Amino acid sequence: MKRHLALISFAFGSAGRRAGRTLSIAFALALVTFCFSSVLFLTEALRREARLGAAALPDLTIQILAAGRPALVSEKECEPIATIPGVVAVQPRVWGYYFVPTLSGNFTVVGVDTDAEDVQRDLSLVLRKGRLPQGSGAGEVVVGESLAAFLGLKIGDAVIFPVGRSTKRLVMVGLFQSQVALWTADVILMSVADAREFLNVPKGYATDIAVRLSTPDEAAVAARKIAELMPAARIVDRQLVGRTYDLTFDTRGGMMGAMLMSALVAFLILAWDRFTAVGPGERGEIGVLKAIGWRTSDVLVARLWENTLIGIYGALPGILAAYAYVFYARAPGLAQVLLGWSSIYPALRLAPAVDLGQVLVLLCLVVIPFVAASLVPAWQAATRDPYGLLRGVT
Amino acid sequence: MLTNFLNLWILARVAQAAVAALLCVLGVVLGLRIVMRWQGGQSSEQQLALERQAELVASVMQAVLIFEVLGLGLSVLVADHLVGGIRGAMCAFGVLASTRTGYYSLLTSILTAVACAQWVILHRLDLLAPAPALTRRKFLWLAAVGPLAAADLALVIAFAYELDFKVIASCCSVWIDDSVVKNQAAMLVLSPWWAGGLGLAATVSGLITSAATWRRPRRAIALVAGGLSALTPIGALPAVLGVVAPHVLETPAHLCPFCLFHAQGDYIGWPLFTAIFVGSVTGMGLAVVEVNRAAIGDPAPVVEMQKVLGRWSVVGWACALVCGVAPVVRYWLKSGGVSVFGGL
Amino acid sequence: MNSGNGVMVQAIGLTKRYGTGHSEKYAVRDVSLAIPGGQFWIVSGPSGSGKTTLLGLLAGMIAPTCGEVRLCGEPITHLRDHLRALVRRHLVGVVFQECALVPRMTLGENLFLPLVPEGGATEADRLKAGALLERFGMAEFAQARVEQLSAGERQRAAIIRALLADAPILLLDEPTASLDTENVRMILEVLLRLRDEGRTLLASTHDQRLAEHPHIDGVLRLVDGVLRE
Repeated sequence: MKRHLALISFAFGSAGRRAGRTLSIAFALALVTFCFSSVLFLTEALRREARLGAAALPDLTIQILAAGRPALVSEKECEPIATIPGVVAVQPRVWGYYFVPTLSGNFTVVGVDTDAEDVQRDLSLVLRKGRLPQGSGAGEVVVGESLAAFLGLKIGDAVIFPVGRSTKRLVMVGLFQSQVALWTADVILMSVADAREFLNVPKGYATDIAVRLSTPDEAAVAARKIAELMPAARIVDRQLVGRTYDLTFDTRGGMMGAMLMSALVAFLILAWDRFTAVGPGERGEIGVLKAIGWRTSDVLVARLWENTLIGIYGALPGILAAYAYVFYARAPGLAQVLLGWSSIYPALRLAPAVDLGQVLVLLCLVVIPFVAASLVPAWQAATRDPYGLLRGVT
Repeated sequence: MLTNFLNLWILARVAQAAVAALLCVLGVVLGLRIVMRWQGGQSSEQQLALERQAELVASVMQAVLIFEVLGLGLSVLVADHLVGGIRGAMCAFGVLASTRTGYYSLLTSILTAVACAQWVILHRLDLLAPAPALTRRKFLWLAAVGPLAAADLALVIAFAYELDFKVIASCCSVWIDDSVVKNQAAMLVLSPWWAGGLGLAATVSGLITSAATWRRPRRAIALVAGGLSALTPIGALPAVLGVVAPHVLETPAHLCPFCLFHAQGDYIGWPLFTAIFVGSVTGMGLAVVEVNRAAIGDPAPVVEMQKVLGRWSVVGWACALVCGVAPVVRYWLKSGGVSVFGGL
Repeated sequence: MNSGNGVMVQAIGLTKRYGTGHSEKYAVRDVSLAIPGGQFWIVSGPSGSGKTTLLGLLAGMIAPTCGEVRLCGEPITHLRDHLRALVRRHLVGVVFQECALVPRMTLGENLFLPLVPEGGATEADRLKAGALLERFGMAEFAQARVEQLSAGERQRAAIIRALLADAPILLLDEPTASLDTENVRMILEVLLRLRDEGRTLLASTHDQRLAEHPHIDGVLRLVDGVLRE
């Protein structure tokens, strides 16, 4: 251990003496690490959001399709569904998207039964400021914190939105926060009556039907029975939604990673080239070390530690820069690739979801190949004939 | 499916295995070349050059060992990561079980890491000897390690390729469901008293024999310690599944070793399995060193090496014992003496 | 470590040949020597006579084509590569003419270089280094970078580094090359003092002033790789 600590200390000095080479390799490594880290951090953050979002979904969501597009579903459909064994609750939901041209973004409008005690209880858990909407038709809304900030709204502010040929006045009475950053950047809560008016959903109809089961693992069985009752329905399984988002983001991240492989290979070739080029000063240094009693393994270990330090010099800034790029700068350019341009969130700040596993992934993707590429050049340098080095022959 | 490789975690695992395999093959090729030209006892420039090439092989194999150990951790993390995409899988157990090659891949990775470690031990012993008596032998042993590393890479790729996100996987509880497994012997092995007793006996005997070798290295005890260290992980695994896991996860039927790597398992899996690996590998090294005693001729390097290995083996088995017993004790204290298994 | 007859550096039939057939060249041919402990010997000869090669063979840095080298009575010729390095670390202090010190390191860092593979310098090593620097009049240069030192100071520094390891044998290649008269005198004084303390020294030189110095214990004349009387 003492030997390695002393060699690491020597390696620090060596890296400093060859500052030009150290910095050039570390810079290139930082760039490569930055690219891989950004993709990985963004992918994992999106997977986390998707997991949290999917966890809050109902076990089954039933939509009616017309011409292949989701259409409004009659609330009468709820009764037969409720009789299926294993179904605990059936709830028609009124919600939808509202596109604001001036903002070039959607937000999601969700109608909630603000008179129900359990709804009031659940909402009060996420309410950060203000109060819950009261009464139906009053136009009172609770907005996600990030969305409110993006729209520049404070509690008490009113906004008028066009609805069909008329307008609807909405007054913000509260702010909510959620673990799911997508919601706080996107969702406006209002009473069901207001939502019907805002989204033009007539009474007796709903956007979809939420079904809760006693055993979520029975979802496939329940879905089959519902399909028999409602042949035109599309039944969305929560677990399937979660898995789909998981795999989608993973695959998109993997595609980006695969495209970056060529950059990694180019960097490894550069590193090999730089490590192999041993200048006269370095050759003399190795000659002195061998002459004064350093074994080949001592020189080799010192070189490997030097290369490892260079790896750390490069990888660490790359990882930190990626963290800032993804979680502070919101990954401009990359976010659109991974999120998809069909989803337009006016304001989305993802929560960091970085763990040691991801660091190990980056280590194996970037640093391990780098250290491996430096092995043979390090050995070549370490095994040079000391006598020849001191004579200036090799 | 080829699209399975479009996943950063899988790419990382494949990259790690590929680098390890490539380096190992390089080591084997160089090693065999050295063996063919080796002239032990000579002092020519060519012989010195071969000794320096041997340094490269040694560095390569030590790097492979580090990469393989990292790969073991990564394989668990990758399998855990894929849980979200496979229905029914709750941890790495289900993901690995969802393919034909999952567990074979893990086992091969373990064997490759163990083989690399034993080679490194042999190499260190060779360096301590005044004459290179073991050089030819150790490079010939390398020929066995190379195919293992290549097999590891092949199985990692096969596992990734075989992953089918449309299947429904099973979690660990299925494998101890008598109606599914119909294996009375497996049920018996995992029963708490039997598994706990076996695990305790195996670990304690590994600890005692390693300690004895550390204190006074002798042929017989070193060989026994080596053999026991090889068998102890097999003896300890039922204890980990049947006793440690239920106490850590506070559920009698939760016999999953992989959940011990998560927060719900207090991450105890990491120190526990690391300790088992260290204790086992260094313990087996005692036998490797002993087997080569005659070839070296000089007993001093053998004794020195066995003392070092014995000490590390003791540390490994002691830590494994603590990591295994502590959760059981903690549960008993928390529950006020009530067994997690109920009637026992 | 001493041999029974007091010989510290011994070569028996030492030969180093490069190339084969028509291109074969002997750098050193059938050289035998025996330097008793506590003596200062010189190997003199013109450039290209094989002096540096001979020192390299004696230090174990080069493998001979045939012959044997013994240091302190122990043969080193057939030692393994990593054990030869240990010989140079503990038994033989090697001071080569060029590249004796690592540039862009301080003098202090250079002195402790041989100790790095053994875990670095201890407090005792630092005290010893301080004492040696004082003794050779170089205490003020401890933190100076090598580029700031004169040729004579660098030579003294390289010798101090060899002494730090307590090596009983010193092999020096052209220790007075490129030095002015004053520095030559200073280096010679240092080397003679070391000889008087019981160390065994062998220095190669083409400088006749050194070869003909009255206090030198023995002179070996090497011409075309062969020792001449």
